[in-house]
Amino acid sequence: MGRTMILGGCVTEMRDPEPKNEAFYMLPFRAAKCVLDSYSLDPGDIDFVVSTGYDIVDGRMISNMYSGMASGGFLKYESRIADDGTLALAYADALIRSYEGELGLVVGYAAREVDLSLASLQTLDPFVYRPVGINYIVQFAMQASAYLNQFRLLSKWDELASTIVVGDRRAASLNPRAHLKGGLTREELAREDYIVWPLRKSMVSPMTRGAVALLVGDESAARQLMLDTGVEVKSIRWFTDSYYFGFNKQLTMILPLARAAREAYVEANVSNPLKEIDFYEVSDVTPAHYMMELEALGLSKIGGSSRLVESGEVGPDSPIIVNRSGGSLSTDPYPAGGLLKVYEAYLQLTGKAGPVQIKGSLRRGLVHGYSYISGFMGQTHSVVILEGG
Amino acid sequence: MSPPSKVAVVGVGITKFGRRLDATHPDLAWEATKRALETAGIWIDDVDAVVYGTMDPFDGVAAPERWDSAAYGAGRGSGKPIIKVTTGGTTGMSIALLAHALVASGKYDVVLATGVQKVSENIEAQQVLNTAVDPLTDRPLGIGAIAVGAMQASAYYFKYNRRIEEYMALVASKNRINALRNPVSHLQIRLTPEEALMSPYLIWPVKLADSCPSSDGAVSVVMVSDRAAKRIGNAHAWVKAVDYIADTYWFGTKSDPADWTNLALLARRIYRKAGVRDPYRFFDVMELYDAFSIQEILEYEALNLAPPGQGTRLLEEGVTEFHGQLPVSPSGGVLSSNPVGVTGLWRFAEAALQVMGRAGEHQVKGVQRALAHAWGGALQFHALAILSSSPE
Amino acid sequence: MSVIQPLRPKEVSGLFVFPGKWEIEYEYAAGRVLTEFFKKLKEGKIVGSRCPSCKRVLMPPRAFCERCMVETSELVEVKDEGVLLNFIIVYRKFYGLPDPPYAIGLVKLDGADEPMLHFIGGVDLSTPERALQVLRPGIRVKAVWSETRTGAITDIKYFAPVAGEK
Repeated sequence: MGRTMILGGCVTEMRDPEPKNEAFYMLPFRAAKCVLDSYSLDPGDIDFVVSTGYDIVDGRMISNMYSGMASGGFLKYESRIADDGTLALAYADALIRSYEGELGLVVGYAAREVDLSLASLQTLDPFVYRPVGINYIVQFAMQASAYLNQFRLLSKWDELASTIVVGDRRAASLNPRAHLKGGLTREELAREDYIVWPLRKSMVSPMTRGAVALLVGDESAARQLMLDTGVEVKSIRWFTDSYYFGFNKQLTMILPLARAAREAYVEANVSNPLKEIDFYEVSDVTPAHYMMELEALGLSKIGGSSRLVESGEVGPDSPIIVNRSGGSLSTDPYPAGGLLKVYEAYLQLTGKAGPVQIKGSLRRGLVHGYSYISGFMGQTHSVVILEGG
Repeated sequence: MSPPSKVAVVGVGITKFGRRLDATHPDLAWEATKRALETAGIWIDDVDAVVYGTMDPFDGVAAPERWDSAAYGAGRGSGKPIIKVTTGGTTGMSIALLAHALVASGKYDVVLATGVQKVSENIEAQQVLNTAVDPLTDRPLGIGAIAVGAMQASAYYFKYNRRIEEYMALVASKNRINALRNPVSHLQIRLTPEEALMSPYLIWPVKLADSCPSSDGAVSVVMVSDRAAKRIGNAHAWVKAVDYIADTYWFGTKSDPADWTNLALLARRIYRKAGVRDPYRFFDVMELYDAFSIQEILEYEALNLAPPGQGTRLLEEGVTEFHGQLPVSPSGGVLSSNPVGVTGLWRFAEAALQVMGRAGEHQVKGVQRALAHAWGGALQFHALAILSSSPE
Repeated sequence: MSVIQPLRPKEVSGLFVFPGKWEIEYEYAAGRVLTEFFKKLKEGKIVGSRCPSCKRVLMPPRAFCERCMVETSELVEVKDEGVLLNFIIVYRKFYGLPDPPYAIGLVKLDGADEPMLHFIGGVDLSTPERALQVLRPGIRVKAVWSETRTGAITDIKYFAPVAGEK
């Protein structure tokens, strides 16, 4: 069976939404063009392009009419998903493994020409949820408050949150590819206003403008083009939970992520993640999500991850390496966030991560993608396990 | 190299199309899915993954796959892998193409390809479609889908045939009369070519009768691996080949709208892949995306059934009529029902039903091989799929 | 506590239908190339962008050429006059779109390699028969500029057949 390899990639500058100095499709163009140039490829060498984007976020119907071309899709097999970018990688993986294409580009971008919370409201049904105005930040806060109440962490919340946020920001300040590079102190965070209690401003991932393009292909394409074989996509698994409470939907446990992780571990032959996976890049859209995600990935028992945070066992430079790149709390170009993390993991596994390179030999990395903008509490979580050569 | 698995369609569920005030978005999702699962003889828990598609802005709910997720088993166990594709008018076929890749790659054995659309819930579809064209250069001109269909008809009129409106009326009539055999069809009208010619202009040279309706509806298709096909399904339609092409948005960069060159390019690719030398003899039936009657004529030519400018001959000779040698859109086609984002999947599903011998009253006799097509964007995207009664 | 406005369903054959509207504001970035295009429109001039690889002058100008995947290098002034390649005429009122009748055409301006879309005016559009007495592919058309120009595509009111074509 064909194996899907990540052969390279490019990111544009990750920055504030302002200034909006280019048409939105120049973001995927710059990332895709950079990949073509970096690997001396002609657009004709590419078999397919898969991108991720949302019409409502881009403010135009069928926005891939523009972004697909800009991603190098001219007269190619081109498609577009509307989920976190890791699922665009899943599409590319299926094309490669079914021999529909050998070499392709996977592209994600975030132009931020719209208020994301307003866009998120339109993804809710018009009868029951939308009229109550529960945008994604309100949904995050509901999850955070439930988690803190259930595991009696309210009194420690500011402390825990600042350990996670300040840790992410410290890592980001070393990472040339990160968005919020300025450090943040615990005191500054504690003085911030609440957006939606219990979330203060810096406890929610930022609005980042930027784009990512990955070059993906099978081994034969890599050999023909004399590219390093890069890293192998060992597994991509994702799950979606219900829109409604009362079945499998929980405020404090991310069941679809737990299921995706379980299946990915099996597919990648990982029996003990703590021992066999060298680092994790998770979509920590809030510090509460960071803790729930560690639990869903099986790194801690349910409700127990706060102790790992307090003891310093998890973090960008802790024994369990989480979000060496700075995480979503520093850089969040939704829906390209998962692809950015895959790129960071690729750089780590090939020793090209620069100032944030993890020391020692690395074999496996795990990426968590979270399609949070749509539906109720995001619903879809994905896990990608990458393995170095 | 052959892919890890062959792919078969084993179940199809199509809702009644039209204005569906009786059903919410998830209700339609369930209606189609339940039917598809029943025809395949499986239950939702047997489905490994779901590929969903729609054109969000039509329905006033963005990313409705999340609201609809309950219809796909997301509320059972720890959920279901659901992935969303959206590529304009080709969305429905993009659903089928991704589902095909997920099965062919060996990743999943049973995938549900599905989509829901409620076009009737917006007040004016052309206003929604106007948001597709460039907001700075083209949107102020009021361009929608009918305008791009009219550009094709007008270009054809000047380049090839000043009597094109009469042939468009033949297409309009043929497909509406076909629709009378299909109970799911939105429009059920015995339209004569004369009546079609007399209907008012929407955008010259396209008349009301030359245009598709705005429909609500959902389609679900169960696709399985060759391994699973041994235990699932009584009738199988094998996916012989699929392919997709994206051309530029910019009208000036594309070829003259009188010829659908990008579709011709894709046809050449898929014919080569599937070993089709003479499409006229190879296929027994076609389900084409004729949102406007002119498009069926352009499609004949791009699919190499007739030379450029000569597609009208097939209509003169009745070749593509229900009892002709190569029936096109026996389901009634897009001119009779257009739940836009799922219309491509409906083409795929109708082609599969024909191959499976399960099309009911609109079954064409002895179908071995069928072609399904969808177009999208600013006349820029095409998808094709070839279905066959034999896995080989 | 803010008060939520009550939603009022209407009843159609015994079933409820709820009113809805998407009012989402966007800020569409025009970028370097289109900004220059619109600034020039305000001055009564039209520019395209040249692809350094295939040398074509793209209309409307874009920042990159999708055939060659390279950035366009320069803006080139083209004439505000050219050839009508194709056109359509709108007769039905579409909610939220301009009032009919109006015509939209593909106009290849002198000096550009690609046609642009715009309104075609200065012609009796009341019936296709009347319009077709004047409009046909190949005739020359010229921009009729708006009195008030704002730096937008609407700075050109429409393209009209030049004298001698009527």
